Amino acid sequence: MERFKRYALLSSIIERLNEKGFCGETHIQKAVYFLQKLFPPFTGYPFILYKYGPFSFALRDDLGIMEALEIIRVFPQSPSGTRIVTGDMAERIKAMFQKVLKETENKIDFVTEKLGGKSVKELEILATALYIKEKLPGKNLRDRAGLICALKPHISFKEALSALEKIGEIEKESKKVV
Amino acid sequence: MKLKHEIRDPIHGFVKVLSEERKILDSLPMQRLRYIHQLGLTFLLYPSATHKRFEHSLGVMELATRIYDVITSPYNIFPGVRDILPELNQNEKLIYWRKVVRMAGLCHDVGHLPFSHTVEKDLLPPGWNHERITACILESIMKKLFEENITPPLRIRDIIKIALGPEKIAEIYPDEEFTPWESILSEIITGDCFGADRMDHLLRDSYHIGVAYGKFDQFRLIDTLRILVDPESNSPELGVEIGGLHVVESLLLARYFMYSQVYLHPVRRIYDHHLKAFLKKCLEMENREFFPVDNVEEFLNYSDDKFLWELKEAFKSRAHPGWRWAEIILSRKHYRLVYELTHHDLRKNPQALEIIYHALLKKYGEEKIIKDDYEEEGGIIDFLVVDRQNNIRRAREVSDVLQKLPRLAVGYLFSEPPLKEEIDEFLKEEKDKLLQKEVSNGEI
Repeated sequence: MERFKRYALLSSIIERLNEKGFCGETHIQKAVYFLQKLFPPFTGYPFILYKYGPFSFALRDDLGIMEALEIIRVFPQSPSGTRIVTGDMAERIKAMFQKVLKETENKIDFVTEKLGGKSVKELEILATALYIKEKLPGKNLRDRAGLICALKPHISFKEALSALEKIGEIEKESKKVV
Repeated sequence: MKLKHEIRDPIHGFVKVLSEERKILDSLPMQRLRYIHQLGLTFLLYPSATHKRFEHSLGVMELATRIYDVITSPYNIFPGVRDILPELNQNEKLIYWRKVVRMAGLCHDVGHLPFSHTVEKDLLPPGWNHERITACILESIMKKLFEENITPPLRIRDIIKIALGPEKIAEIYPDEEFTPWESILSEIITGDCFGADRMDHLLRDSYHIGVAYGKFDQFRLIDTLRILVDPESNSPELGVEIGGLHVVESLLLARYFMYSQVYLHPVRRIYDHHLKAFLKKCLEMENREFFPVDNVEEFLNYSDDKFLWELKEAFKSRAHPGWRWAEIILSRKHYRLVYELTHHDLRKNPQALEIIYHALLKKYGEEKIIKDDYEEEGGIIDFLVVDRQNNIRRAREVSDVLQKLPRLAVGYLFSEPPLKEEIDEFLKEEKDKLLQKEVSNGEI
């Protein structure tokens, strides 16, 4: 995908997440991951299971570049470390891709509605649950929850199970999004 | 028989190597790094930048070992860390992983192409990079060396994972996961802020280039590194004590200055393009489009000396397919900078570089104009810091320097030397008009 188009979509996601309360890097990472899984291909970043669940190094690099180009601004905010907001150049970039943004508006709204305002830990559990569901397609909830706990020892079995159920609901609801 | 050897090094004094490790150091893939310039043709601009990947690899091993020893020292482990990283409680494992970290540091660059990063993007088949070649070399001809010479024998996959880190490993072995312990160890080598690779190349490059601003207090920095647990997610990361924060700031500033003054110097960048064009011709002479990544032994025959010799041969004869580029490089007739992207232009039009590039291409043709752009990788810089009350915080919260650290993004256009004056005039007249061009859906 053309990079400015990605920056336009990311700017839109960042604005929506801030409207829901807070946008840090983990929020962006997880929102993009959900958008790619629920509405493929969306931005097409490669994700791996890493710190705080699914993580894309390419997306991380893009956020750094967006900061350099003044499309986003990064502020310190306790206790989450950094708050990310759109910068002076975001409007210019979005104006270049109005049609794309219009087409993806409902999808971005849906995902940011589900993830906005959640803590880093909640995001990690939910996104890891979605990642494991994809990884073990034929398995039942308990097997998947077991794998989540094995990979992320600080997540309890109960938390993993509940997150997997929540993922099922989100996926079902996402089918209605046009 | 000597059990330990010392190798003199201008950055670290002595680098110590065990006899069993010497077998790895003396292997062909490691020795080949003596003939790969760390900074490609940068010596054409900074004459003393003639250092090689070999000494850098030794330096990374040395720094990685020191970092490992500091962060696993019982005196430096905070309460709760041992629960998340049980490896810290097992002496045998600590000894094993120390050896893995040393070998990962030593071998992390064995897959580099001639002239290091210069031609990697263009002269490798799609999906390949030097990290993937490193993994191939380690998995094939070096695997036995680690199994037969090191006690206890080291698993080759462990070395590869720690040497290359999660991002590159995901591309090479998509099913390989990192445990929290392995993530920490790979950060020691590949970490963005205080990885041994970055630290050594900054110190070494600045020393050899002869600039002062790449330096920082490596000893203080390493002494203050700790494994910290992010209170928000409960996952362990490499972080720093508050007393070492100012040194990390100086490292990040050193990196900024080194990039802006050295690595991204326009003349250095244009020589990379000319060298790329020359090497392409050399490969074509061997009926190749890319370096031979499917044959490790063949790949290892390629190093800088082969092409530096070819460069001189090409310069002697106009019939040589690479003559034009050899002449440009050896006679220093490099293309000249005609446009440099500025914040001012970027604000006027986010696609300023592309628009001006296309205008010049249309007017002068592909042969005469070269575009070069680079944006700093590595994401938003942030890491964990532990304060004097043992509270764990994010660096951006406590460091004013980090908040104000500029991010680098450069864009250059170069032309054949005789065109420079004409293009200068053209852009003086036309640039503002060109930048007013409305862009929709990203199409120029």
